[in-house]
Amino acid sequence: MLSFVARRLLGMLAVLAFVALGVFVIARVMPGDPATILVGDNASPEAAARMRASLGLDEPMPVQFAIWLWHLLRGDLGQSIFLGEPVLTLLAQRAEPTTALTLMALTVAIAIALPAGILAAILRDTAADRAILTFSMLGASIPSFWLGLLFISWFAVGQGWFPVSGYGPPGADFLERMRFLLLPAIVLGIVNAALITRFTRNAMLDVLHEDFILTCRAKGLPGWSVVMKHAFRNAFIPILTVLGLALALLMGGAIVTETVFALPGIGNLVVSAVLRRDYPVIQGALLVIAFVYVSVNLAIDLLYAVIDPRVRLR
Amino acid sequence: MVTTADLVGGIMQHVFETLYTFGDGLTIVPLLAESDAVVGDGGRRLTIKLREGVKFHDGSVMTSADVLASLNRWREVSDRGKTGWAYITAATAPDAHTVVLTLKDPYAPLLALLSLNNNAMAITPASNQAAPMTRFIGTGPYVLKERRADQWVILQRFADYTPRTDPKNGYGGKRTAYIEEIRFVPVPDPNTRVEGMLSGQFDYSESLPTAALARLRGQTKVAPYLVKDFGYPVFSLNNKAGVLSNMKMRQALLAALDMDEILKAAFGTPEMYTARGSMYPPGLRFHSMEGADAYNQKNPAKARQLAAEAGYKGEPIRLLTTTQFDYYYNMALVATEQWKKAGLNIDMQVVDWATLLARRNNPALYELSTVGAPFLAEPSLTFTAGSERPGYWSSEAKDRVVGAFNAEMDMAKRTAMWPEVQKLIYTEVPYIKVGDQGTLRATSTRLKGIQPGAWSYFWDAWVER
Repeated sequence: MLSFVARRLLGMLAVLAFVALGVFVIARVMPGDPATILVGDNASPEAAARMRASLGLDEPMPVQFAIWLWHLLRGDLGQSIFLGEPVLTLLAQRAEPTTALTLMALTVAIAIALPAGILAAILRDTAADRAILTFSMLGASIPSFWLGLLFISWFAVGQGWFPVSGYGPPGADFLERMRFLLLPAIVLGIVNAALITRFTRNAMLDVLHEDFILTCRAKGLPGWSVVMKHAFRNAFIPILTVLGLALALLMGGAIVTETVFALPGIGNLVVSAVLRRDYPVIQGALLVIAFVYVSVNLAIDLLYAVIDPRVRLR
Repeated sequence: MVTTADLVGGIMQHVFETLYTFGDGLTIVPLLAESDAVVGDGGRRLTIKLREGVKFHDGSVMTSADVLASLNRWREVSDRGKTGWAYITAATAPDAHTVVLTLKDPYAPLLALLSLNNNAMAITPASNQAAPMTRFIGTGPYVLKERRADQWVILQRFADYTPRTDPKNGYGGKRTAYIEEIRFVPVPDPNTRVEGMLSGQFDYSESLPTAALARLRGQTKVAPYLVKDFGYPVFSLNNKAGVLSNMKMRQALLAALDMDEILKAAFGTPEMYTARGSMYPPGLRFHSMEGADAYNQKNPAKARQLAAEAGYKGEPIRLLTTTQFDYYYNMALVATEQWKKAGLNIDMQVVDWATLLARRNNPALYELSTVGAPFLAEPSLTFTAGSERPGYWSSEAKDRVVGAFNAEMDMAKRTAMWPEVQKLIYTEVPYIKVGDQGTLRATSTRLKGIQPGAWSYFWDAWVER
């Protein structure tokens, strides 16, 4: 087990080193540069060149990479060209809305998807099963920005139940801020529930056809015990994989949803950084997102072992 | 101020003031200057009298030393400052409330440069000249209270604001801050801005999608309004390199276009646009129809003819556009089809705004691009500006005609000279004006006193309870 963890940690480091090089190269090969954006569309090429020099962007690429890497190894992700604040501070500020939104959306998704998926598997090929499948297909096909605007129009403007956008006025307390996340969390929850429902249904169907389920039934175990205790626990590993993927993706920022709801989250930060070529933010944020992604994956792998004793033996 | 971005200028005009500003009909009126600049020595000397007793946000009082220091800072950090300082040979202060600018040649656009709120010649205390600026100390009716990136910029009323005493005139004259606190909140999605207005979350919003006009009308809590002549989109042509460096080719491009179709595709409802060849709409000083018969010709046959005369052999013409502003994209899409009908081989390249700006800076990388501008008081600040700017318009006739226009310090004479400049634009076609574009904004019905203009401002506005 310990060597398993050690191997995974080493692999994680290798991935991150690769990502560091990758994000640097990707940020720099994009045409356009922050200096041109910073001086604006009415400025001359000379003004952009002066700005480029003052930002140190006229240095050779390997030199810039070495400088960035040197700072990175000391835990310094650099400073945003546009926002004038350290990238780490910016990420920390945005971690709250993104983390909270992720957890809320995942809660909504699980609350919808697990019961729906299990139900669909038990009631296979009935009208209820088909209805659940249809709805999950619908949920997977609806673009999240459209659903977001629809819900804003219905529930925020029409009913006044939720605020339209933003993350609370200045001085808003935690609960007030969370109120601003309810509607986007429901939207993201529904969109994510679609996929998880289908996975749950399929995983359950696979297990429900196994011999040991038949044995359980033959032993006269009550139906709910067969489904929840024996079938679901065995079906949970593939479901956990999907949940982990959804969690990691959401932590990287639900870009479209954050834009529609004007949430100051990680996704929003990355998008605006890309649009204005804020290199330190692009590089820093992508690196941190990659870190979260591999960490979640590692955690999920370790969780397998907790849930399924057979994994521990390998 | 470093940036020329309108968004920054629009917010910070509440905090920083300039020597001059724009009055009604795009005239230039004094703001921190007491009166119009006195022109001497054949246009080579400007004497600017400053207002007395004007307080900065830190409590100090503005003197000519602050103005001189700000002028120097403007030269260092701002592109427009460098443009102005190409003519200024000396800036001196004979007394605490007078500044004298000595110019190497008369340069009329200088006063407009000193008036603009973007890349602004912002007046800040001599003791506060760090670049980049860390303390935002101006003389404006509002103080910068807090900025949190991508969440808000909060301005608070400046209790000791020193207003002018002459009556309101455009951005000039007496300014009164009634509203205690203004919060600028970024909402990137235009449709969310509409919903925010409908729900009452915001009191003001701009750049709203035209499609929302019908929904916003007939609401009791929202008052939408159109700023009819907001600005004008253009095709900026690369005059320096490639096939469009040939004037006949540029004329061919102009001849082929049907502006009515293009504008309809770009802006939808006719309320939002006007097909107009004049570079300035009626009511503004520089309105003229001189040369404008070359606008909206809808003549692909003539375009084909001109291209043949230019020796055009079907070389690709790279058109840069972006979907980040949907009207640029739609405008490029329709124009491309019209140009293809005239036998022009347009290679439309859809890129993001950052890429477009960067490629435009290199004449080898493009032939034309979609851009736009608001109607500025000074024509020479936009597409007729220096030959080193994207577009790279440079010709003997330009030097003569635009040169004379820029050297004339008398406003009445300049107004009379403008039609000749416009005629030259339609002859040499350094860029193609597509039409006049409106923009949709909305206020809540409780917000009063908002003036339609290029940059909305919130002094003189109030909220009714």
